[in-house]
Amino acid sequence: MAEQTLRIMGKGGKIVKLMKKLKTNPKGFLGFIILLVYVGMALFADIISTHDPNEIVPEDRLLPPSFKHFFGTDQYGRDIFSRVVHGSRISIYVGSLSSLIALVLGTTMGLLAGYYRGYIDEVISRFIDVLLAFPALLLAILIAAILGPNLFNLCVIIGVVYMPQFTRIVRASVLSLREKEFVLAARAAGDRDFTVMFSEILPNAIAPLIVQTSITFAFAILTEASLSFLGLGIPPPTPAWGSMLYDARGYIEFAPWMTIAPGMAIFLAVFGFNTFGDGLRDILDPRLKVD
Amino acid sequence: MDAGRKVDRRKFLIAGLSAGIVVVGAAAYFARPPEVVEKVVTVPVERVTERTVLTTVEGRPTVVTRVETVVVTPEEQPLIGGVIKVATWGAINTADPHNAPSHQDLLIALAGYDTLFRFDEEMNIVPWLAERYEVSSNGLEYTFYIRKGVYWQVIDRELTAEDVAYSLNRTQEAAIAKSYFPIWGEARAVDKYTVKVTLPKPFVPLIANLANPGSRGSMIVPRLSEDDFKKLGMTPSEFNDKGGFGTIMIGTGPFRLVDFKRGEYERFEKHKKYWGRDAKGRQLPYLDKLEFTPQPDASVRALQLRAGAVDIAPMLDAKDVPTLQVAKGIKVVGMIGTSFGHLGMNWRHPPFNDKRVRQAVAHAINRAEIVRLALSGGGEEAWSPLPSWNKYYKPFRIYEYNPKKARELLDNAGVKEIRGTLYGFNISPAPESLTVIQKQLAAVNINLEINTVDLGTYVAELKNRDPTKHTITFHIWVDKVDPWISLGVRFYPPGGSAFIEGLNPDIENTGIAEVRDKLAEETNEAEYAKAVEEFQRLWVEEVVSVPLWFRANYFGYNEKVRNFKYEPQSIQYPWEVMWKAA
Amino acid sequence: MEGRLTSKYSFIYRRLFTVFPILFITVTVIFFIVEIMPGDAAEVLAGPGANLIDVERLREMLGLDLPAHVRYYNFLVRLSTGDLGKSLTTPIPVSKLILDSLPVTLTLAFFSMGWALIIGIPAGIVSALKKNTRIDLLVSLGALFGISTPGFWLASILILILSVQLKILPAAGFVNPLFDPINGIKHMILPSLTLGLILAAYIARITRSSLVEVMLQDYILAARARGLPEKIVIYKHALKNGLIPVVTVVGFQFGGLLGGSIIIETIFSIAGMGKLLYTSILNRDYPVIEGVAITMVVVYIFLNLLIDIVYMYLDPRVRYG
Repeated sequence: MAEQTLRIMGKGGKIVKLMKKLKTNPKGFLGFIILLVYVGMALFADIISTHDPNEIVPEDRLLPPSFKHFFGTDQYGRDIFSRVVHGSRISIYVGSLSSLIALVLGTTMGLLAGYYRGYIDEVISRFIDVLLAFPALLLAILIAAILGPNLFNLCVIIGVVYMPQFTRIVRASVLSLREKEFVLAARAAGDRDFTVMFSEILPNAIAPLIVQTSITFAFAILTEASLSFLGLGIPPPTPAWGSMLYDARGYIEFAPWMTIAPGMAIFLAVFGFNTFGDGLRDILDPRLKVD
Repeated sequence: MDAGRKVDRRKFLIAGLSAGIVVVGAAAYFARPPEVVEKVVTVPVERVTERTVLTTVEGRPTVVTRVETVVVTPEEQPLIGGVIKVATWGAINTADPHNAPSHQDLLIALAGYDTLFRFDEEMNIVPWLAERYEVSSNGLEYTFYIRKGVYWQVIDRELTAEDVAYSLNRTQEAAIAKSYFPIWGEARAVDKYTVKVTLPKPFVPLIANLANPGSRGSMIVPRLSEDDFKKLGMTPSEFNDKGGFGTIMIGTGPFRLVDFKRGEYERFEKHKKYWGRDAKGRQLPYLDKLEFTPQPDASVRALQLRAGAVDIAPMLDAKDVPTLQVAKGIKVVGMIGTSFGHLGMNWRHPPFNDKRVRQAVAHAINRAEIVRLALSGGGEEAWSPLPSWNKYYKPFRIYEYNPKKARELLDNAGVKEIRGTLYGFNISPAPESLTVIQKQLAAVNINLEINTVDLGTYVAELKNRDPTKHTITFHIWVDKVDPWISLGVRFYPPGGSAFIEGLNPDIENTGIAEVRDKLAEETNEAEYAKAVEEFQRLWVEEVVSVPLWFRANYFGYNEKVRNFKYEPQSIQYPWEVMWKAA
Repeated sequence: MEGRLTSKYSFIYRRLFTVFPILFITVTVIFFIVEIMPGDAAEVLAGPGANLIDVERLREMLGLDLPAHVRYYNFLVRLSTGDLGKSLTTPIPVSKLILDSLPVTLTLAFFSMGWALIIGIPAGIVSALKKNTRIDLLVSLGALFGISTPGFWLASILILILSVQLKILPAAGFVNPLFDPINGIKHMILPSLTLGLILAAYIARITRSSLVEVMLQDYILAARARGLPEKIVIYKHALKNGLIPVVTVVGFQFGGLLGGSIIIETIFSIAGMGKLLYTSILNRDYPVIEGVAITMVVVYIFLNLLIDIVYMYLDPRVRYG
């Protein structure tokens, strides 16, 4: 018991140490700031927006950026700045939920595969292989055609598509740790498999998992944008960056702000998460292998 | 060792990012777009001095030659030879005109196949493969007199009545073609150039169907004999294995398909023994080659036209038209097409079974705004299921835009708020139209969620009409020229149509079914016109299907192209007389 | 020595052995996923305004009215003879459709990979060797930009600049470079550049990190201590091992490219396998969906195997027990 308490406190200490280190790593810090901005945007979207994102004003269509409309208007006269700000909600939601699903599913499968090995491992590994055999987007399209494109389904789809990476990471981690002393000791002491998996093995895999989550978040945003670009994403009129890019396609020549604004939003968000992930990786283990 | 310089990374990163953002922000300050087109652009068409038209005099079909005054233009000598490239809006699925699932298949097929009759610009029927026709007084027997000296491509023999009879009968075996010829007995070759068709009941739209390029089954395919197969160099089963008419095109038209790669191109070369001659007696077609490349994205078609990669780009988006109009060397013409957007309400979803509620929805719609925002001005408001250029068209402005009236009606019906889904497919301009409609309905407290799905799912779910799923459906159908084909077939028994109201039994109470039957059977022209008018009225007023818009079709072409003519369905072009100046 | 040889071959055999069950499961899964999709080919073909009777007749003609397990059985029988069937929307054999689209996808894949390697590897090497200098920063930043950019956005911008404003490159279409080299290459530049730049970013990053790690290894220090010139240290020792993980990543990227990049193919109107699969999904053209999906899985599995073998030969330290 005492040991476990110590370990938890140790973890808390780890977090504090993490924050300190982050300040010294410029990449990670920059990424973190960008993330905070986006999360803030998502939380306070109503306050930051200058207009109602869905308000159609036919007289004001296709206006270039100005003081009234920071990023201009689209073909319905809707304010693009407000739409981009509200779009962050969708992206944060999609990013979080997808990453969470990928994390939970992937970790579970990876733990099971690595710990029990044998038949279970074979089945799970082959399943992962099959999943990886399909280009992510095509898999997403197939599933979207079956489940229908609402927000929750989209997150499930993206989560499933990016699950394999997590499985691999966790499985590799488990494989390398299962013979280590502290694991063997715990098992000898009679700890149930479940406990062993969660309290002994998993904490040591947290570092790459966190990094992968950050990367997956970025990919989730990109995938949602791609699906929306193909017309299979979030239905109108909800402002989602990918859908906005889809709408802007036909106007790229005479209303380029329609493309640039949401495109930059996606880009910066993805950039932020990738940078943050990079920084985290640098801090947690400077010699960690990429991918 | 290379030392390099250590730089303050944080400063550099932030500087770089800021610089990037500033540059992008500056780039975003572009000039305003040119004024989007607010009305349809039409260009006067060069007229022929003399033309032959099939018309009816005292009820009997007659051949008439009309002489007209023309718009004087200096006569240009056509350049023989050359190639014209066309960007189409989709890849060809099949070369078989009777089984063609999509519109672009017909476009391609019409370069290689001919129909028995054709429409001219005024929707008159002109002789084509058939020189004239006769119909018995009871309307059950038609006689077609086939033109002599028409040669088939590839199999290199003359067109006979046997071919025509075979082709016409073949419509009954192709599921898609059959719906255009639902009343059919048999076609028989009486002699080498005469075909008799017998029907069990009168079917007035028959000739229009045979002239309509959009009707599957109007194009004539050959009856391949043993000799023909020998010339092709394959057995009948080999022919079928290769895809039959689906991949091998054998027509009488001005061009023959020599090569096609699905999704990449369809290449045609001139049919040297084509039956057509120009006014000076020269052999047609003028061109040597015709090449089609599929490009589903309308904006990219416009781009390719500007870049000179293609000479003709049909079905352009209204928003690309202004840029093309000012581009050098490009001409843009347009007309209202056949694409018809409308709303259908699900009577099974209360309270839409109450007519007042449906009327309220009709009053809440502002068509002008939808045309402006969703079609970028490229279209006309629809007050009837027929387009304004159709000779039977009558506008029924019964439910004008009046949100106050809408609210009143809803209050009378005791409805405070309605919730549900606004359903449509995810291809432009459906989502755009839905966005605007949602806002207009919300203004009268009908709050619907938009649900757009891909076409396959859309078609499948339409049949289920789950009350919670489809409150109001946005639907686009492509009109044909003849009202029966456009309207009647959608309600034709016994299966009716997959269209949302067609299968609703309550609709019979409006009396629309009887009128529909008349459209197929009424031989008297005056009665027919009355029936069509009544159909439109019932549809708009009683059923309260809300017609929204007819979309304009824009055609861009290189000004070097001559004799370019177009029609509302965007599939038929006079390839045989088109040529390209140097 | 002998022990290692046996384990290498036995590893390959074992892997080959597992291929067939994977294939079988995949094929079955694909069949049933396609089953679940709402709507079927008959409905799509007949169109939204169609008469129900006609849809039923169409369904009969296409053989879609048979119950699922019967069709599944027919499907397996067909597959075992290597017959992928005929498309439902056109009577063209599926194998022909796939073979027609394959050279397109391959051309795009080769060109994209070409850009990616030419840009990515040198960038990664340079930034690794000049770690923490301005060049390193520039390259790393550029790579970060590359992986953060949505492909379709990049494509739109490139088209806008190079095709519309400057008019030097065509906006769409595919011309086979083997038949028409100049035109073919011109048409390939934009799409392959779009894909290539993003892939290059990934390659640059992994090259850099891998090389950095290798440079820290003892044997590199030892080589330097022995007085070997820097060039030889880098090219002979560091790169050889540093590029191993790059090979893996490149292999998987190439596999992904072979799957066809739908978005790029859609924007540039290129009829590759990705577009074929996408269109067939929309049209509910079951034989095509199944055929292409199976092809992709097969390609992927064998590519996987190939990479493992290459890896095995490159890195003697890897155990396959």
